[in-house]
Amino acid sequence: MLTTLWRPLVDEESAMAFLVSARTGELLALPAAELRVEARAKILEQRERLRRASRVEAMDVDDWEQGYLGRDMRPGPLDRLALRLGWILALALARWARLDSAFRGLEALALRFPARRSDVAGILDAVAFAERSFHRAARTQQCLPRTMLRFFLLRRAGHDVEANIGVWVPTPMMHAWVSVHGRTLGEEREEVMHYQPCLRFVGSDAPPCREPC
Amino acid sequence: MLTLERSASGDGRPGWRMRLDLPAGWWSQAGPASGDILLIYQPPARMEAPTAASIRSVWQVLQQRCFPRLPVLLGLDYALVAVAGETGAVSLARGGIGRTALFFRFDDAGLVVADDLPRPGEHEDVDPDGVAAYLSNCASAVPADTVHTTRTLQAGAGWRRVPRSAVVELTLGQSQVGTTPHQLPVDEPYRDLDDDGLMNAFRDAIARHAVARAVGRTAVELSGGIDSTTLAVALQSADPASSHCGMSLTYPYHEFRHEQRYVEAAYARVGWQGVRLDGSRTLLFDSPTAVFDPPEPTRLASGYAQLSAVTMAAIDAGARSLFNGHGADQIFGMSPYDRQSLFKPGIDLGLLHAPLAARVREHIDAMRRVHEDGDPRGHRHFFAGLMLYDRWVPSPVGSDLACDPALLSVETLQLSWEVFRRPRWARPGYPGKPFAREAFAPWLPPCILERRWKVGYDGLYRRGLARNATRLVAMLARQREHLESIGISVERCIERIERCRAFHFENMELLIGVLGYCVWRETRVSARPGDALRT
Repeated sequence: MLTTLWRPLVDEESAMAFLVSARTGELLALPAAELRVEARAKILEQRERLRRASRVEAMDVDDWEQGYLGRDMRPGPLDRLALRLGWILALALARWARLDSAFRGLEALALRFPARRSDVAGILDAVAFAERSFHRAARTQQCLPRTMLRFFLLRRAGHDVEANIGVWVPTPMMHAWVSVHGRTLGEEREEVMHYQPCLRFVGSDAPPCREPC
Repeated sequence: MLTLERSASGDGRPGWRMRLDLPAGWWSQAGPASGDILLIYQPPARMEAPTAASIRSVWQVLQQRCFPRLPVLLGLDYALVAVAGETGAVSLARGGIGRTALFFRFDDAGLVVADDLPRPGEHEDVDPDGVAAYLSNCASAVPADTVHTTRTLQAGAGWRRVPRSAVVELTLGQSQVGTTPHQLPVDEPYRDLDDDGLMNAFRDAIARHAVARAVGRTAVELSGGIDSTTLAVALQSADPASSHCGMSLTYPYHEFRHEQRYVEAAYARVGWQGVRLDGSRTLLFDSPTAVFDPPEPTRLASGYAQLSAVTMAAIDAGARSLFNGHGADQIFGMSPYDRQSLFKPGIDLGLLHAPLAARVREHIDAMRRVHEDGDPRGHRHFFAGLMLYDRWVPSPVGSDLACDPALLSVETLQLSWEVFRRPRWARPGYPGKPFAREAFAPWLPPCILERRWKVGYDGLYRRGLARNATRLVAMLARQREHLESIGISVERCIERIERCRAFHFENMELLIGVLGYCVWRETRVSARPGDALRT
């Protein structure tokens, strides 16, 4: 079951509100006062497909400690092929698909083709292998396909997981990452701490949660 | 000493005449609007003039008289250096945008330097040895008791072009001339040290220089990063009996919420009291409370508010000197400035009119060619030195507070050159600062040693620009005539500020540079703090 949560990030100092379009994944910056006008807020919700999502006041984030970052691993030949194909598909989804549609599709696919339960660290390592197969740099800007592939594999293995889209207010920089109950997975803590999540796709076997989980 | 109007000498040749208010002993001759600079230092009449018998002596004169306790990087910046041997008077000339070759000659007015000539080909290109010989001939005509030596040289000499790769040094009146390529005097004294020995030598050098430069109670600007913590621990360990203190800026914004743990760890490590300052009131282009008067345009002008908050707080805390970690990236071999980052293709020059933009691109291409001819690590060091020079923090009250770069000395530069040469630290890599993490591990608290990223300041920059947009637009309007005359489009700058105010996320890099220049220029006209950003 996929639940979509959203919230505008209101910066009081600049009197601006920032949110990410669930439709296109783009960053929207608008005067905070506009959000308070009901008619305009409804238009925004409809246009950005936020009416199918639940507005929340806050999203828990636990980034105090540095979590597992991964290790180099080399899976078997069939797994290598599957991971590389998965990475290519994730790139394509991140590039062309509607954001909410992509995560709904990933959730549906994961539930339809479940896998044996794997540990979280192993899945993070597998996605890292897939990414390194195509990008030599130690760090890449491919946070959205990375998050999509992690989300899919974690859901397929039966884990509850959140895919976050966050903004570094008040800059145009965004980041995507996965978390479990707000605890960040597989990210440099001091990088992700810049970002506040404003869009969260929650994949869970529990009933839909309309409050921060 | 940036001059703003082009003027011509008696025969129509480009040159400059202007006097600006400078630190004691200094005066300038105006350069053209592109920013060429001719600086002249005239020591007090009773000061004993040095005997400049060699190139190294010239450097010593410059180091002593021009930039006390700062290693002489002037050879990187200035194309022509002239020292009057009898009086110690120093003349330095440099190009404006980029480090261009200059044309010079001697006439009745003295030494005249120009960055362009009205008629192509009227100059004579002289190789470094030829320049030396030419100047030697001129110098021999100078009377020994001349005070303003540059004004009495023999007239009638034609224009010469100083080769781009040469720094010409002239000791007037004693026929001493010399040339040197634009690099630090490298004696390579640390070449035979092994890596551990090099790290030990660096720790010793930093501690020794920190103590030497600490004037009484010293404040250290502690950010919780590796650089400033290293400096603070070095000072404390070398001088444990003194009562130094720390200054820290805090911000209420989301990305800074974890920074306090690192700041507190740094204070705990050195055992100092700390002064916490609210950084949200001193963002980019906020009104400063003190007046700064650097001699040349600097990007630091955009941060006068923060500089004044920190420096005045240090004075209030009874500090006589203020240290910060500026320059550490360059000294510790972390500088990211390589060919790819320095000479990015397709840079945004949209705020400049076409002729100026074309000239800037020409200079960038010329610098890229110079860079490509040399060793990549050597040039990284060269440009790191330039960046460090540009970030020299001025003191608002020199008699009360010294703000000399704490990490910068000839010795640390020579050590850093050796670090640059070692394969072990050849690449900054990820998470960065490999040399500093190894060399200063005994000094750093574990959480600071292990931190992999430093908090970014991009959010602060955008907030400052948006907050002060109205005043910045007014400042641009006041300087419209001058900016347009040097090729900067005021309308485009204003348009970009307005878009930044509305958070349309425009590229701010060149805009901040232009605005910093305007603040610097306006601050020099008015002595009252905050005037540069009045509405």
